[in-house]
Amino acid sequence: MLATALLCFSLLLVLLPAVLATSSEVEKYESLEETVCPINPNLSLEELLGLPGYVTVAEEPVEILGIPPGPPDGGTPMPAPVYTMIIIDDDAETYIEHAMSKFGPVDFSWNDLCNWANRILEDGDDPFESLFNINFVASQYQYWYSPSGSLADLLYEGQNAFPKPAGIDVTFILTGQAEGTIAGRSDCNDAFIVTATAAAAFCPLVNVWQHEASHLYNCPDHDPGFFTWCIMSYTWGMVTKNWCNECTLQIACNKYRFGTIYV
Amino acid sequence: MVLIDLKHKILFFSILSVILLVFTAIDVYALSSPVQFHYGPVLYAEKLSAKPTNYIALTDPDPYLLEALSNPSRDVFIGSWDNTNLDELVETYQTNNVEYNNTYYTVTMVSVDVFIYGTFFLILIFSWIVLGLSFLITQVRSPSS
Repeated sequence: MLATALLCFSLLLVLLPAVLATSSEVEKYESLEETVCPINPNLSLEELLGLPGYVTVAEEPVEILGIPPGPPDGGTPMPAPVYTMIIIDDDAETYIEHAMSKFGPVDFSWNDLCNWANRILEDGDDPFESLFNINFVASQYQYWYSPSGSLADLLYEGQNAFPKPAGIDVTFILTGQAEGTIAGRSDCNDAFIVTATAAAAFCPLVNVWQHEASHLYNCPDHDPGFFTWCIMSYTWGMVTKNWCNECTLQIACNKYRFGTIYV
Repeated sequence: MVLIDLKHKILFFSILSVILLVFTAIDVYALSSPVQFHYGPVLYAEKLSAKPTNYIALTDPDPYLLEALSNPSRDVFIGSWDNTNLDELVETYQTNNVEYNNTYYTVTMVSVDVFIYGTFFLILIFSWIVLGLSFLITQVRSPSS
């Protein structure tokens, strides 16, 4: 009896978010007619229909971060690539070398470090690309001898040490310094920091990256988010790459905030 | 003899369940209380040495904004963005600079993200499943059943 109760409790905890995420599928499509981004002229219903079943009327009002220019005649609007400056600090190098030294002596070259950071970015932006055509592109790498400090200090000082040049949209700092249990920090505007030490606490860096990047599109955190199968949920964010309805709509309505191209 | 075994088994599983329950309760509390556990949305104020060109003159800031202004260069955890109206002010005036009591600050809205409690939550679910299955297996194998 007790065992059955325990099993039911566990299965309920595991399955409930997934069940809830799929059960409203019909409602989602029924409500598509009413789904509009009130300001954005570039989002068509067809485009929203192209999203794999996520879009529904947002429970929370959607905040549009920037109004994109209207499309010129004959052009189809696409989000421009998000040009990203990656700042890798000396502690990140120490951290990855120490982590990899279990498999033998390691000396990471600058190219290796760049490839590592780029892989986090490229894997993290896959859901952005497949759902919204948002492509983060690493267009500049910087090596930083960072001072010791909190992630708040590092995010602030990193941006001061390497001001964003023209043509760069976003700053992504990869550090090896830890601050308690914090995995990342985003200024919710155009910069965020991810600590590589999060990986030691079973937090995939790719998921942390995707979470922080989602903040740039005005996605809120879901705490505790027990019933929200979303990357922004503090409960399930480490095991899913999905966005919930609210976050999907937030990104869809803000996807042109770093520019628009016409194809 | 079988009765004693059964009592031991129930006692063993009960103790394990209570321990897991305590950890689950703590973890659920940690996940539900970002302010107490210092993560989630944050207001972060920095004092400005010079008067900025554009700024918002604050007369009656909300309590969290006031706390941020009173503690510059420190994270003030606010739990939810609904607890402050700074985002509306920034959107209206298109600046993060504020003036309060003749002092100038720049206030940013930051998100501080902690996932360790979510990871613990997954480990706890796994532990509950293992505990339930173990109890089920021992019950099936038990001669009394």
